[in-house]
Amino acid sequence: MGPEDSFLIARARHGDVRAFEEIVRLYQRRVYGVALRIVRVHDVADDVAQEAFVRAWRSLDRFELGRPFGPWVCRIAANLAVNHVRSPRAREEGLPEGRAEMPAPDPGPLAAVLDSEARRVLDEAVAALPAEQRAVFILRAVEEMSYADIAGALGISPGTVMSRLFRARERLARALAPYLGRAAERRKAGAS
Amino acid sequence: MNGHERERLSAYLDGELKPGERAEVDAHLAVCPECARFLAVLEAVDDGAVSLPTVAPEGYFDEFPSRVTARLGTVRRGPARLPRWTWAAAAVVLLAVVTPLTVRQARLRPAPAPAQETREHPRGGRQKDEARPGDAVSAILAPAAPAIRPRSSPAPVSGVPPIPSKALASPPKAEPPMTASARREPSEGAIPAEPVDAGRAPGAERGEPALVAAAAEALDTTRASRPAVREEESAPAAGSIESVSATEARGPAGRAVAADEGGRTFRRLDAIRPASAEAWRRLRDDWRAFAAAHPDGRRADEARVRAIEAACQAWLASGDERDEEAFRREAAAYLGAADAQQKPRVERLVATPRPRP
Repeated sequence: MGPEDSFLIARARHGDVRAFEEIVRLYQRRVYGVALRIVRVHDVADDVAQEAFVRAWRSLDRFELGRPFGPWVCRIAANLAVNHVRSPRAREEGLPEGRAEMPAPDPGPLAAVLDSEARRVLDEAVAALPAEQRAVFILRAVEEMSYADIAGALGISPGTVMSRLFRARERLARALAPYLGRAAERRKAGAS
Repeated sequence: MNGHERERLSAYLDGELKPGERAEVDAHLAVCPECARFLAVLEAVDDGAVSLPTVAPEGYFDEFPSRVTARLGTVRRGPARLPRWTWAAAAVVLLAVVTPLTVRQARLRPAPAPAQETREHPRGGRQKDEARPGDAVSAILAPAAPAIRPRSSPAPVSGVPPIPSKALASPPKAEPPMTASARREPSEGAIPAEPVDAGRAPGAERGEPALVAAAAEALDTTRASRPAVREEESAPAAGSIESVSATEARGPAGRAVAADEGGRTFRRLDAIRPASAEAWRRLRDDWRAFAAAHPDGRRADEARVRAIEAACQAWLASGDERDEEAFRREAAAYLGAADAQQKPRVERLVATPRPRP
């Protein structure tokens, strides 16, 4: 968290709504991203993100200046998102088919060698993960939270975080296996 | 390396193993190409997830902050933080309002009640009142109006269980419902079991050599490319003076504070005499913000010490161990700072005996 963030939060704690609005502006994409990756539906992610910020506002008195604000509010969002996905109705309705609201990726180590089909498969594999595994995976792989932070956010033990994370990664690795092989062949062909 | 040990590779990737375990995995990886490739696959999975960004509808983020703040007007901050005297005062006001109304209504009871009665409002002025006298009480005690909803919603639903106390220090007791949840039902006790084999790709068996070999060739990712300790994990300790100081005055608000060299603000803070733990906490935060906004000013060191004093007072007033923890952390940070000028003063604070419960 930057020094400006600390100042904004200090002001927000004293009831400065405009300062808090600026905080929301700074972290909205990240919070929304966490929510969307877990709930997979824009409308729900929107609600989760809003609610996360509202709860953060309500609890600002307990937030200690100097600590990073982003992980804190993301943990709130993740917990709300997981609770939503756990709900019976949400499970009945299921997740949207296909890539839904997950658009084309930025270039990255994997994106460089995977085609759009592989990305779609990865996206679907992430969506197919059990909600608890998906949340743990997103919080670690995307948000880069520590196991302790994830455990605290989701109310589970660090050991459970470790096992869920491994299971999630293993599943995703298996889903991607054919595409990793194809990408390797393409690279070989390009090199020869 | 067996399947159980494979799980350690995931933790190894995240830098979450203890040094001894990490050394064991390092030694194993040096002699096991299969596990080294599997590690690369795990890393590739993470990179792949990161490369799937989220995009909202156009203009969504332009409006989102104002939609959030529109809801804040209905949300009370810091539950259970009101001073006790406010509740006593509210009770007195309540009695003052209700008693005359009750007496008045008792006097009026024999007469037929009009459809709409105009009566004197307790605060003066007059207003239309369609309610029975008792409703004056229920109106005060009624829950706050539901949060403003920027999007239409069929009906409020309590579809989201509260956040565990670990996630929020003070979980709200009566949450405003989430909008989308209005389309869903409550989720109590709905923790799904995790099917072990669901979702696996056909033909992809555990430890499939082709997978790890292909991944290793397809990707140039290596263990060394990922730092063992993430940036956020190495963030400054909570409450650390150093963590909130530095160049806090760079922001627009910070510049505004810096404009008067802190003189007015310092004097204003110096004049505050808190009467409660919460007020001490606010003062502590103000001193922290001041010190952060004037890291190089002549009053910075004094502001730091004042923040520690306020933190100590908050603890003494509340007896709350969290306040004590915050105070001691802040004091330790100050005492560990090379440029601290008033260490004896802070050391005396640190020696403060614990308040009696």
